[in-house]
Amino acid sequence: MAAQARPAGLLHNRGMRPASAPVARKDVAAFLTQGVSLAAVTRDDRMAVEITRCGGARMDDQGCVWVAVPLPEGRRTLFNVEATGVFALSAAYPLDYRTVQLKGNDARRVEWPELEQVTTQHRQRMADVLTQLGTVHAPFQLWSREFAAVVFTPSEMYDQTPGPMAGLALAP
Amino acid sequence: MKKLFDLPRACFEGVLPSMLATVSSDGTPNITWLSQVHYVDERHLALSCQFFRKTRENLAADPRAQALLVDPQSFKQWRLDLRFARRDTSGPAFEAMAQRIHAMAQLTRTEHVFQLQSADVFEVMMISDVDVLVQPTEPPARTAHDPVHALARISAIIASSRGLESLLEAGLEQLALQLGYETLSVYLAEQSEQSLYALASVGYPHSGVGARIPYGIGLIGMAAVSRAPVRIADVHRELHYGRIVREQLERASGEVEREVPLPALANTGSLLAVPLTVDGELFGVLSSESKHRLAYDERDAMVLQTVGQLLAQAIARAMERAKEVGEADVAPPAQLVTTQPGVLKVRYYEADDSVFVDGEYLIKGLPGRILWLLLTVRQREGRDTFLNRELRLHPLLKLPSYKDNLEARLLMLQRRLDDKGSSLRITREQRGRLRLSCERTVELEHTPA
Repeated sequence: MAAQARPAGLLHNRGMRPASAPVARKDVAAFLTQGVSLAAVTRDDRMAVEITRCGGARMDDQGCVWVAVPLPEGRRTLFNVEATGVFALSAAYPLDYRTVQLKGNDARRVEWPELEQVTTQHRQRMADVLTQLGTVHAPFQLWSREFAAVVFTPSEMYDQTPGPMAGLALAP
Repeated sequence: MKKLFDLPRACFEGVLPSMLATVSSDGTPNITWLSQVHYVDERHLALSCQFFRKTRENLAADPRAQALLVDPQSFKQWRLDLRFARRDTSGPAFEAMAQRIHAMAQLTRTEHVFQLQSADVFEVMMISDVDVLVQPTEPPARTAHDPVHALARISAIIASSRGLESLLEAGLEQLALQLGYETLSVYLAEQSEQSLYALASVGYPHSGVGARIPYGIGLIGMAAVSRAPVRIADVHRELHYGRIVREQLERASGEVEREVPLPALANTGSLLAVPLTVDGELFGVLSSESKHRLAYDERDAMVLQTVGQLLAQAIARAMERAKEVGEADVAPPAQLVTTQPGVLKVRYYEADDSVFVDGEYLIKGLPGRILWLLLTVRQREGRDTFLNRELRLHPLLKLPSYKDNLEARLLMLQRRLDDKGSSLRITREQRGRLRLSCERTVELEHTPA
């Protein structure tokens, strides 16, 4: 899978206030590469949810989202993926709170050749972003260095940027 | 089972956002980032509900949820399995969370965005460690300061201080030393202007004495209005404190303010402001800033408020004492001396009582009006010595007959002139009497309102 390179239009608003415009659906692929905080939520067959911070995510040209799930803390997430295929990923840009959430129900564990490259790049980009907030160590401490890869096709995408638009589906 | 009180309190400071996951009736999970997690008791926590449209729907269908909390110092994390209990729109948890959200909104100028709808209270069913395979960072060791020792020391300073000036200087210095704070500033309330004025500070590159901050503006103004401590654990996440406060001042007045810069660090990490009350009325605000994140915890707020109250009572008593002494004096003989050539131009703008010296802004508001009165009497009557009593009674100043705080205002003015290195100087040779001197001839210009 080759990560899609698109213009970083999402970075234009570098102020600390929430962005006035929500993240556009077409910009999600670029957004995921910008050092965003990532969290996945899955559920088991008894509807019990499980949150795991993730170590990198990319959207490919077909719109599928590839996610690096750290281990051992993501063990249960992988069990849930296997049991239900249900997956939601939230990505938040720490400097201005722009946030998107992608949801799908066809998640599966896969081999991802670029896994190491993506997780290394993600950690470094997040460190660059967090340097501006004085919490540079976070991406080196918040998740493990071993990963498993999960891929899913987003069937729903939502803008979660704090404000009155939070929770609205992203425009195509 | 691990209890909520086993988790470090820093988890609840909002430095690194927590998360909340829920599931809808059709089995679709949802995750949201939380600006605040509030510790209610050992089995309950409250989450700030600001934009939780989907979360609300999901909780109505299934009250189970999971939160992920992180300690911003060690980066240890915990998963908390929760059950939604109730939605509070008032009460201690709601009030505490609303105040914190308001404080953050003040910093980010996003009051219109960040409004608390409710404090959603959850029962904590289970807490599990997140097993991250990296070496956790140990929190930086903080120098332990014994608050009882600090109280004893401040008490001793208060008991031995003679006069307002020595009380402020020694009191603030000892307070900073004993509590291990980098900076401290004390602001005095000016009810007639609904503002606070910086009276003294320690630890800052510039004293900021005379700086004005309206009630409700910035964190210090908020502490005054709410009469409750305001604490921000990580200002780095927001814009620089001083810059934001300044922008807010400009926004509040609709124009660029001529202001004395607030005492502020170049790179504020955390901030604490506590209100001071005397006889049940707002007396001022005591604040401290640190370059470090998470410099103040709940205990700091309690300790600072306690010792601050002691100091406030002593300052109020010192001001009253000065007033009593002044009553007995008589008017001094007239005399005016200039030793340097040249003219010092002083312009007074009646609209906001601002005073400019040789084109440079000096001060505004009541302290500005006091200075203008001194200058006009000095010029008209050819004398440079004044009694506090005559100022107190002068109709231009409109001072209240009870608790006029004149002594503190004069001290503020004196320090502001010293800070500016002005040729104008106020000195107090004896209690109840002051001298306004200038080595040059003073030329006064009055711009009416």
